[in-house]
Amino acid sequence: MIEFQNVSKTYANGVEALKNISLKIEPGEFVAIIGLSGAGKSTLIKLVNKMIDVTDGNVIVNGLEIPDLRGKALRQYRRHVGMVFQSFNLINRTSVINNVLAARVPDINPLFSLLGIFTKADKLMALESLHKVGILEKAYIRADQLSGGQQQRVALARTLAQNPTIILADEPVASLDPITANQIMKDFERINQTEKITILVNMHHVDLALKYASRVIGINKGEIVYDGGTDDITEDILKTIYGRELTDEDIMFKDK
Amino acid sequence: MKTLCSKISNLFKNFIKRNERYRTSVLDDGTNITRPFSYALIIFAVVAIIFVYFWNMIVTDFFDRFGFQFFVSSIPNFFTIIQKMVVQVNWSYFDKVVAPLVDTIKISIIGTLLGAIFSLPVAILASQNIMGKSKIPNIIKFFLSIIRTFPTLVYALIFSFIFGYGTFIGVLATIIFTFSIITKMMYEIIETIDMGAFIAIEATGATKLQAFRAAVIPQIIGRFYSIILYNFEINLRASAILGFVNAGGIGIIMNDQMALMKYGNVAVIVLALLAVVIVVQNFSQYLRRRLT
Repeated sequence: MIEFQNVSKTYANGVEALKNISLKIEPGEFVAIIGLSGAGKSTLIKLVNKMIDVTDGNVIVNGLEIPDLRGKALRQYRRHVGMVFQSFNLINRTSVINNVLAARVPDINPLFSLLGIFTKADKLMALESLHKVGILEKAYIRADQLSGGQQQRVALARTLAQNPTIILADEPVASLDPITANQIMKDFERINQTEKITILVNMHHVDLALKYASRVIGINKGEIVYDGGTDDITEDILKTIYGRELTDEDIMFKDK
Repeated sequence: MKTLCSKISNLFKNFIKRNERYRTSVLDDGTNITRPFSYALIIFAVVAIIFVYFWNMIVTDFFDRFGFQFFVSSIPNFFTIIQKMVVQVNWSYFDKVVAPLVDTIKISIIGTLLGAIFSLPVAILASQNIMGKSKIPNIIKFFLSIIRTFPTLVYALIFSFIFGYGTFIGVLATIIFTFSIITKMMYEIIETIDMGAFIAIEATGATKLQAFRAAVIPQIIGRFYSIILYNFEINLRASAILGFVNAGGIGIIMNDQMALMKYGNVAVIVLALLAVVIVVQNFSQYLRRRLT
């Protein structure tokens, strides 16, 4: 379970990204966090794996107090938390399978990892992960030669290869075209259902969030303005989240 | 002094202000857009002034003292030496060239490889993006710039005072020079790589070292090999100079034969070195094209 207790975050430049946030996320939930850019979505997600520190309050995941984690304890905790990025963050100039294997690095013998040697079992696990996102045939191709959607799938496979209980996704489809974005969201949905992994995804596009998530958290100027199921969302609620009428930019499939 | 400075800066500001209308474009509907002032022209003017000043100091001074006539009449001396090399070329001397030439290649290979091996860890420590907020990169960069201040020849000279003479001196000097150059080139490459992958691997629970190995090494390793090859070329060429301070290799016999004015022998040495350099250069060019 992920729990935020009165969490505030103020950046060094004075920007108040989150103001006294409290929320609970149960294991296996598929949560979409929506809001304008700058609303604090990214900050919220990055607090879960301590990519940034809280200014005030506490984040508790499975009984662990995340702000207190340091060094080895933090690294061990991060093994259970996968992260997917808007810009994919793959290792260019190397093969797809090496990208996925990189997620196994913390678990293997340090000398082997330094030399870049992986066991048969690790390689099989990497290939299994690629198979789960339907991109197995690209295993031995250089990662930078793939399309955006394929690269995001590799990133997803990399995350699966670390056997996470939680996956954090920071705007995973924002730099993809609508069709590909839909496919990637379907991948998330499938992973959520078959692997029972908790998924926290930041999105800008309302329609995709409503279509795939089981729960939506709306953030406006660092505060939670909506938290509930996808069915209860009305035009008025969206207006409070976005602070204005929705525009074409907020919806990926404009014909709807 | 203070008033002078502010006067100059005011003058400059006024100049930029008045210059503004030449940089402003007016569109059809009356909208104005001003291009920012470019300092390129001023920098060019300063460089030109410095150039003319130094030209006067060095070149005009030479002509003033010795006369233009002397300069022109001395030029053929250069061709006399070349002519002597061609006419007196002594192919039988080649037997004596082989051993020192092999020494030179040995010095370059050992020196380049050892310098490169030492340089990679130091380059990582000198990269600000990998080291975070640490001050270590600044300290290392400072020491590296001190090391680079002296050319290989100076190091060879210093080592020859300490250890005497021979190929070992050449290797030491080559290691230091290669180390300083490759470290600089590598930290500049590391500092411009895409950090996204590094952050992603760190987020999986890897240490900084593991993340570096997994996410950064694949991005830089090709260029590292190519830089090593390039430095091998440089070191081969530098070997001719190294011999002048008895640091081993082909430079020693080149220095000797020049001093003895045996230009026929010098010709053979130069040709042998040239042949090796051309072969290495082409081979390394071919490899580097495949690496990057």
